[in-house]
Amino acid sequence: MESINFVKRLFQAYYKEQRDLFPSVSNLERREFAFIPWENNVMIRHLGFNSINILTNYILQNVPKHMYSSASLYELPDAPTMEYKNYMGCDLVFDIDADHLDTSCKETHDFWQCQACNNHGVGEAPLECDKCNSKKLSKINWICDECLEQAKEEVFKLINNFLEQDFGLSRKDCSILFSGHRGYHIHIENENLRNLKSQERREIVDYITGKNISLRVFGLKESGGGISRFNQYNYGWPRKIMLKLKDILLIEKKNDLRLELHQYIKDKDKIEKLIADKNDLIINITTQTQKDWDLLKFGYVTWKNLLLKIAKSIGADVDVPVTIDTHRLIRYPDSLHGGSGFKVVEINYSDLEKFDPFSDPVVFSHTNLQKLEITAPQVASIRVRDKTFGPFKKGEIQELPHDIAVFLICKNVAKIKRN
Amino acid sequence: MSSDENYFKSNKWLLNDFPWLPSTKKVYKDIGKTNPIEFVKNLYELNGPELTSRIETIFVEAINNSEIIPDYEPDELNIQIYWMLRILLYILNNTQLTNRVANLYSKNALERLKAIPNKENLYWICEDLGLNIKSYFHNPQKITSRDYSNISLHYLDFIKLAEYLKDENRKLVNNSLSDGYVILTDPDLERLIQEYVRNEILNFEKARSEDTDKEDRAHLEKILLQVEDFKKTYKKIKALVLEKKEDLSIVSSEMISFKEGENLSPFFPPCVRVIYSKIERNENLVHNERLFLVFFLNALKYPLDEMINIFKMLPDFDESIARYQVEFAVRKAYTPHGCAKLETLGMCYKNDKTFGDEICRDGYYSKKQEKQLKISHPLSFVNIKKYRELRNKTFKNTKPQNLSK
Ligand code: SF4
Ligand SMILES: [Zn+2]
Ligand SMILES: [Zn+2]
Repeated sequence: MESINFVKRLFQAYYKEQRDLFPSVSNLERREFAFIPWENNVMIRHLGFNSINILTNYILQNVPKHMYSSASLYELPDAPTMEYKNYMGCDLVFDIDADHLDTSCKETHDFWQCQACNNHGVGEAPLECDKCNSKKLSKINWICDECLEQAKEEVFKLINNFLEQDFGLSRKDCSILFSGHRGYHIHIENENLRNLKSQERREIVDYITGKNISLRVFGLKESGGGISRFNQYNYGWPRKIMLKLKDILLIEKKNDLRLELHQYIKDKDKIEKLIADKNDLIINITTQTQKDWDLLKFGYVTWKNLLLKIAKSIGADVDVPVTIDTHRLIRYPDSLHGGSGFKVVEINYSDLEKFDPFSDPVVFSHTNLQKLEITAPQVASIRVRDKTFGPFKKGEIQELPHDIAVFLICKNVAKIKRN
Repeated sequence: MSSDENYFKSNKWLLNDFPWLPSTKKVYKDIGKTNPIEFVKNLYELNGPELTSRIETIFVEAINNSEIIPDYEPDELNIQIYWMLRILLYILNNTQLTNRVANLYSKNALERLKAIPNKENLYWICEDLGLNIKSYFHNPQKITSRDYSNISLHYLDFIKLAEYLKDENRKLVNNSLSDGYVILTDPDLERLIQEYVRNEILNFEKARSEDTDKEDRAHLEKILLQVEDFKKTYKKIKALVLEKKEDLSIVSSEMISFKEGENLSPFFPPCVRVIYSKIERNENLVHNERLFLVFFLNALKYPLDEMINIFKMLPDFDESIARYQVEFAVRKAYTPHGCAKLETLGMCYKNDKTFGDEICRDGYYSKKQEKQLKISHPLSFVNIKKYRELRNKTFKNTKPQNLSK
């Protein structure tokens, strides 16, 4: 409790300081608000605020652990059920979460613990404890430069390769928010998109992830596996796939090419076939031939797997349910994330490249110190601003600056140590 | 006056051929202004017999699941017929019937669109429908080495129009999207316009306002029935609906449906059993077979997982794809193709040595109508087959008992 009070006091100080700077969102009075308090983890939702002042007062009084507003607009945002709110439309939202990305760092910094026997381990949690078979495992998903860099990469993919290039949206229409923890939200406010139904949003998100791609429609033939009219001059997905395949084939050094292809094809013979014929292939990709083309003994299944894997690497890894849910709550800009103590930061597209998720969202002092005791069996290292802290072991006592202390308490891996 | 309206004024044939175009209402606004009873009366006075026969044809063909309106005449009367359809479907208030008319009329519209002499008219049609398009008639865009595009459609319009089309070609992800527009070939665009027409007609039945709905329909029915000729047409359609009730209500609640632990497959028609046997032999299905099977099983209310299990036997089974397709079918609840369509697709096996069935070949005897009827839908097959089994069972069960006494 003491630890929570400590963090809560700091959150309060932050919100006080922000009192007159706290940003408003568009159509504030039409949005539903929700908060999660420190005391229990029960969400208080169905709240509405008529002005930013009333909202800031509420925050100062309650100092929530988490704060959200709806992507949707309602006539009566504070009505107790959806039915009475009178839905008026919803912004188009994309969520990119490092948690869903396949990065190798997870194996080194994620952590699980069995609630029954305290057995624990590093990496992705097993389905059940290997000692006592209990299924009650608590997980701590850590963050590092690698996974948040990958998340940022996905944001670029989403905006550049899809929203701009294919959907014709301007990057200025996309507001980018760092969630304060593991990822980014991309939020598009556009009258024409507001009325999209859930199913229609799914069409858009399927396009962006490349789900439900039909290679048959693009020109891969199921019988025989030949390819017709599928080249870099197409539009949309077939073009993206062919451009990427061409890029791969243009890798000059044979060994590098082999290594790269190995990510897409497991069968060594097939890789050699591809390499042997790569020049012909590049010609086929780069000419608009009427003729069908194929690789001898390559086969439909190999083609299919190769092209689908390429497609998967092209698609932006967005969290589908977030986009198709038209009643979604998303984190409020400049609010603090109770699971990290970091700030939710709105980022201009032009600043995204140099945005540092371990520094820019940090609001607490790096000079004031606080003594902590590590409570988790082990804690991976973490960078805050330009300093790296940890790794730590259970029972370790450390005097740490507030910025990292808040992070560790919020992550629930440390508590305040009194003398 | 908008430029469309001018264009259509000097090209009235387009409106006659495509009476669902919004400009029809503007160009013929004098007729549109009269009240329904006035409109109907005048219409019958001027064109009585022809009007009657053309409207009846549409309903007959619709109920029979035809794809084309025979002797479709793109004349001015055609517009008035379209308006009559609106009135009739509204007061008939029968969803299945509206569906059938919407299907027939929109399929017919597609054939008409395909036959347009100058494709540049597609531009005017899209404009009139308020679609957000770009056109390239003077500089067609190459989509593939084979296909060109004259018109591209904004993706929001594309998604809306393609909403109920579930073939993979109509998914946005499989289309040529660039800079906000889906670059379409003429046939693909025409197919989407067909959807527009279908949705328009589906809306005919909808109430103009919910509160007054019932009274409004009843009132309109009452006053229109004062027009003798209209009454005749109306009665005829009603009789037709009654006669074909079984056909029309094929996916109604009385329909046999899946129950836990019960195997319905012995009652399946040849066309479905053929697909089943392919699955059992681990052979792949072609797209049409797959869709037909999902819609068929879904109409019988098979649970989702049950359907996915069936697909698990396929060599190219991909759980996520199968699940998607099945979920889609469940959500959309499309009626599977009828026999006529299946026959044209080469999917009817009524004469097959192994799978053929006399119900398909000879039809069945309807007690109610006291005549032999033809099978028109694989779902009716299930009903009839199941009914026969029940009858045989009770027959067999009671007979020995009677004897033993
Ligand atoms: S007649 Fe109809 S039910 Fe029978 S096999 Fe042909 S399509 Fe199927
Ligand atoms: Zn355990
Ligand atoms: Zn990481």
